[in-house]
Amino acid sequence: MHFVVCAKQIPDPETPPSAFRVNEQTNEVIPAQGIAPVLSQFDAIAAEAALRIKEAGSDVKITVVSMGKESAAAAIKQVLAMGADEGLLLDDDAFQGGDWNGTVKVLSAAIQKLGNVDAVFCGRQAADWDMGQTGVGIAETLGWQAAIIAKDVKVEGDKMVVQRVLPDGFQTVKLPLPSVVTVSNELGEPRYPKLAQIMQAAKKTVTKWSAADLGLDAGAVGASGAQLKLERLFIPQAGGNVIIIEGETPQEQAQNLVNALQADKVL
Amino acid sequence: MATAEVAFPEGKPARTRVLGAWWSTAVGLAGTGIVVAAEAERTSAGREVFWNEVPGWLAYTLMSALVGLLVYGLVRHASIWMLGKPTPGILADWPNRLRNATRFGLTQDKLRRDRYAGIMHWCILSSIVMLTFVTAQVAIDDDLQLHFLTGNYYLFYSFYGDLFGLIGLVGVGMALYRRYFDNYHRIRWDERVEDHLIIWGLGVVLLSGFFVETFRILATELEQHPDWATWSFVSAGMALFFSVFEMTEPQMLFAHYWSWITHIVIAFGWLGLIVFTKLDHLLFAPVNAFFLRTDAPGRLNAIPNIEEREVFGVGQIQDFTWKQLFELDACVRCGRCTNVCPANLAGQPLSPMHLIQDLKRHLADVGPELQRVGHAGGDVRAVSPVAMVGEVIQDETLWACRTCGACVQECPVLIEHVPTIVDMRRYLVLDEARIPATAQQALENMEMRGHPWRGTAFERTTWMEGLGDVPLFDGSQEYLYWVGCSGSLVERNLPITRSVFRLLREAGASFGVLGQEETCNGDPARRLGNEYLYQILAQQLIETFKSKGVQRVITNCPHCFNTFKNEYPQFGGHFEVLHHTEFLAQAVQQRTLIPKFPIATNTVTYHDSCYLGRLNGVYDAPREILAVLPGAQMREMQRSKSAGLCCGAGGGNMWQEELGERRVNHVRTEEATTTGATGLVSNCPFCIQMFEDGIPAIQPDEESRMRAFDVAELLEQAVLGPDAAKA
Amino acid sequence: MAQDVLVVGELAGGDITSTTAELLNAAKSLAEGGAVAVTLLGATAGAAAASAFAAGATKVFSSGDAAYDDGRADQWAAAVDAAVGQQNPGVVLFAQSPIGRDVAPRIAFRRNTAVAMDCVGVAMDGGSFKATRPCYGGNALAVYSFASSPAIATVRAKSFDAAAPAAGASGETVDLGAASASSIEIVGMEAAVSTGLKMEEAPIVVAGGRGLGDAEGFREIEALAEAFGSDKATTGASRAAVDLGWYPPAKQVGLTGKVVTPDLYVAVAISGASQHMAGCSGSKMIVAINRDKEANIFKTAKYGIVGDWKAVVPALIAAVKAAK
Repeated sequence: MHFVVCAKQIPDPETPPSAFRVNEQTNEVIPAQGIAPVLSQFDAIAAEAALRIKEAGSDVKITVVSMGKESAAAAIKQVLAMGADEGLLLDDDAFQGGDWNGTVKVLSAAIQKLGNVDAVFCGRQAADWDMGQTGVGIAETLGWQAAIIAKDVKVEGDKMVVQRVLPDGFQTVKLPLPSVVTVSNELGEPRYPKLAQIMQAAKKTVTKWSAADLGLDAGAVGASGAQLKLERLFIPQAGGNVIIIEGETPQEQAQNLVNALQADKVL
Repeated sequence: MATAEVAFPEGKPARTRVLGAWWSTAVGLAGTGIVVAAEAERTSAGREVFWNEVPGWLAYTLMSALVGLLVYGLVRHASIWMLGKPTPGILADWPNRLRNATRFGLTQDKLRRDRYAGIMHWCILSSIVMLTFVTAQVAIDDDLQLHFLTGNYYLFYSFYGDLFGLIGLVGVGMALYRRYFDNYHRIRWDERVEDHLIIWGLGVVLLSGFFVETFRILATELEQHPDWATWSFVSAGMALFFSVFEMTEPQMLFAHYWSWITHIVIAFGWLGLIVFTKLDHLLFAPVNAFFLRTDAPGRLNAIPNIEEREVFGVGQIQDFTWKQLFELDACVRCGRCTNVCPANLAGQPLSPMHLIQDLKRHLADVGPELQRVGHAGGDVRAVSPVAMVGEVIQDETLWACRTCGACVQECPVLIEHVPTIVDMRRYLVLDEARIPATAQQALENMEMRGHPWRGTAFERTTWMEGLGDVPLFDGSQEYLYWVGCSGSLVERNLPITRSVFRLLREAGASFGVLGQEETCNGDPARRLGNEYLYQILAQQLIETFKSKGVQRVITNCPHCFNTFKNEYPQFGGHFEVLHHTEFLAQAVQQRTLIPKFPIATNTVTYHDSCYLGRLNGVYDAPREILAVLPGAQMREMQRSKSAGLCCGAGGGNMWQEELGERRVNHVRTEEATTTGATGLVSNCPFCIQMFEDGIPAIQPDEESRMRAFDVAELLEQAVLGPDAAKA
Repeated sequence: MAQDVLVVGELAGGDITSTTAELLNAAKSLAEGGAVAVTLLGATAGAAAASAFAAGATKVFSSGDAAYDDGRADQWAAAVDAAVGQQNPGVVLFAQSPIGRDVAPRIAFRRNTAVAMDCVGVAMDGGSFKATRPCYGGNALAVYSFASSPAIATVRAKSFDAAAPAAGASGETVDLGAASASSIEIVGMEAAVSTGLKMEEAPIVVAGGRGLGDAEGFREIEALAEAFGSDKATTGASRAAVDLGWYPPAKQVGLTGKVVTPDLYVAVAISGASQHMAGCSGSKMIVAINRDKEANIFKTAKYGIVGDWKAVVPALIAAVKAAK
């Protein structure tokens, strides 16, 4: 079987709030000094899901695909170190400034070009824009089914069995292959790579495909193909007028808090 | 570059050095004896060797058997040790190694850390050595027909023979008391039949020796040469006692004959125990002392050429070096290591003694199979009969280690537990990627963000706010003030960083900081077993230091201190490193910092962090500062200086959930509270965090609670006034 | 300029969900006089139509096929797409629910238009539709416009108020027919193990974070919820605590967990990363207990206690019990 894991490199979501800044003229996040971009955590978890199936004994090849600049190769290498077999970087200036339509078009074209892909694993959302539509978008574009927000993924014959996280429990669904699954953190921590695998991953070459390789019209992707226009990006003002409950002892603090809550009729 | 230090540096060695040469007691006694003997009238004293027609051949037969047995035993042991990998540099620095072998093997330097055991062991050891010498002289006298056991020397010989026999019996008595009557547990944690056999056996050897002499004297000297007899003062006394029974001569001869037989058979039999029991430490302990590392105890070995290897850590017994296998055989199960292990004290799943014994047993189990493969020309490294890490040694045992070095410090036979544990951690992390979730997060964070503090809301420059001009290091200043990740990214440690900064500024030090350019120096990665990540971080930072022209560093944190000082030289980074307490103590001494304001905390106790104290020997500088704080009174904890107890955070346990009955920081905080001090002072950001967590648990009442401080915080109060930190 | 707006309604307990009612109210202002259409799919669609009209719908696309109750994306997408085709709305609104997450992108990509997910605001601004949504883990807000039609958005619960039901309102009803065949097989459903109240419905949520130090800390969190009253209060956890295995995933509050909007949210030893705040900032009142006075949580909290939770929480339990 052939699995594709979609990986995205994003600005570190754990950037301290004080270091998170936005250029409101260009509607761009200003990269925080000394804080390197990272692989979106949910994508690492998606890779983990694919690797668990591979480890369970299936004969699986895993290709990790990322659309991004040259620097995104680091994210690819990280998934290769976890145990993925091949890396593919979709890098073209024409891809820049696009919306999710562009991303989905590029990724779908790559998956089609790879051929015979049985399943695509995505993170439930990328931890930068938190949009969460790429996985379903790929499924729609390729005419496949999708199971979103998975906590467990298995393959049984030509079906994929996915346990999904719903607000009130877990639903298990069976989809025909090929299908897309988006994976959530409930699946568990992504594995820590073994050093031997890191070394192997370092030696692997990452294939690079451009818009031309994918047979995509540059006008259909990237900024020129975007239908969602970012009008404004800003940091919302926090309230900042917290009332600190004082007290000589914790008991006094607790009592004062209860008094305040009673005065506000919350208790 | 600091000179390589031998074993654990002591803070104040003078006192122990004076008492140190216990061996001198023996030499002194011998000297006195010689003088006394020389003063005595020349005499024709002497005796017939193998008197009473005892079967001398028996002694020689037994001795030959013993030698054969020893050779067989050693060869068998050695063939097992050789399953290990080469031990790099094991003969390098041999003068210091000889010194160690003498210091720890002969003068029993470590044993005295338990005074009772020290005296007991000295009695037994000196007695065995001297009585072997006594016996050897008999043999030489007879075999080589030298007949030097005559005259004054014979009398002196009789005297010290009896003296050391008596000393040996005192030692045996002390050992028996401790084993059977003292309410003392550590030696019973892994008690075996051989333990009883060894001590009773020795008792019988010594007593039978005295009986041989007693009946010889009773039958000969007591009547004929009572002045000779008195030199054998114990045996003569016993002979006098037996003379009361008015034994006939045949009875005396009979008693002598069988005492001799018993003595000889049991003595050689006892020595034969060397091959089968822990008595082998008699040979292995001094040799292991020779093998003891002579570089800094806080340094872990580098994995050389890490990128070209296939196996990184130690997952199977044959991946240890032969030295690591050798030292397993030196262990005597005394339990000193486990007795001081912070994890063990907190009821967590690590006992260094059992770890060593488990490895030893495992080696015995799989060794023969490995040898078979080796003899058949197979690849010994490729054989893995049992998963050593995971089955023989549990993962959680390895993770519970604080790398505090207390076990290594106490071990009387110089076993180095910590490098062995870290080698197995390396296997878990690098080869198996089997890591506790929280530790994994810390490692990933170091990899991705250059610091272990996942989720911090602070930046590396946050602490600078409100301090005015904070100079960035540009190569023109004398010192780099290294703040470290904890000092800049953990809330509780920020005020400490500010205190150190203000004190450096007040002292007029020429210094700068790196600010955003600081990255983790790799210490937690190395302690957690990720040597690869450590080497990457270390090499990066060494490059940064070199490119900035850094030569002298003042660190906030003893872990950074140890890493820069002891570990960076492994990668070509040679810097002069001071912990902030060292610099501040100097400044106080030179009066560039003048403590004049009384501090609010009037009684303080001081906690030696492992990486400043035990592993780097800095015990005095922080205490010197505390001593000059106006209004502060020092109360030492029972465990302090080289016997200090870890706060619980070492070895990457800052980022792990603790498994076990208690948390180590609670145990240590409890010890601090028993001093009645109102301030618990340390020098390490990890310790401070652990105590901030431990104090509320031990002292729920907030009003009367002890508070945790860094030395610098109190010094700042004293130098700049109580309000300096608020400004 | 008037435009038609289509709301993809969801049903629960025989009625439209509260979020559907909120979306209908929002749709009314977006339509600026155009039609407010709603799709109602599921066994109780017929019965719920009246509430939909009362909540502001002018047209209902309905199918009473019980197959829709299983929420299969392929069936839903086909039905919604049919409604979009018939109504040709300028805007399609979904709830940010499992169905919204699954179906909204399908419609967007099927119709070669775009979708903005997880919006907290949708509005007409100078004749063009704007969707506002948090991003970067809640650190920033982004406002989007659409170059294609229809503009599609999924909207977070409680982003809008529902209109007071207009009694007797009615309108056109169009039957969408039975659900199409699905290739998604639902094998099973396992209810999340949760004792007491649902987090989304509880008036009081007491949540613990990484600062608790270990799983044991949650016993105190539970004790505090218990003190407030097991009929009123339940417990929650930050993602950090859940990822560490200290508390069940079903209890996770935050961007990738549940969004809760209780009257009182007590955050204990939670630093208040934006990812977490995204799940609780809709609470009427937040009380924070944290040792770090700089903690982000204090920026949103109404009341704060700076102190060690180990001391404060037991004291608070006692004080709450005494107050009752």
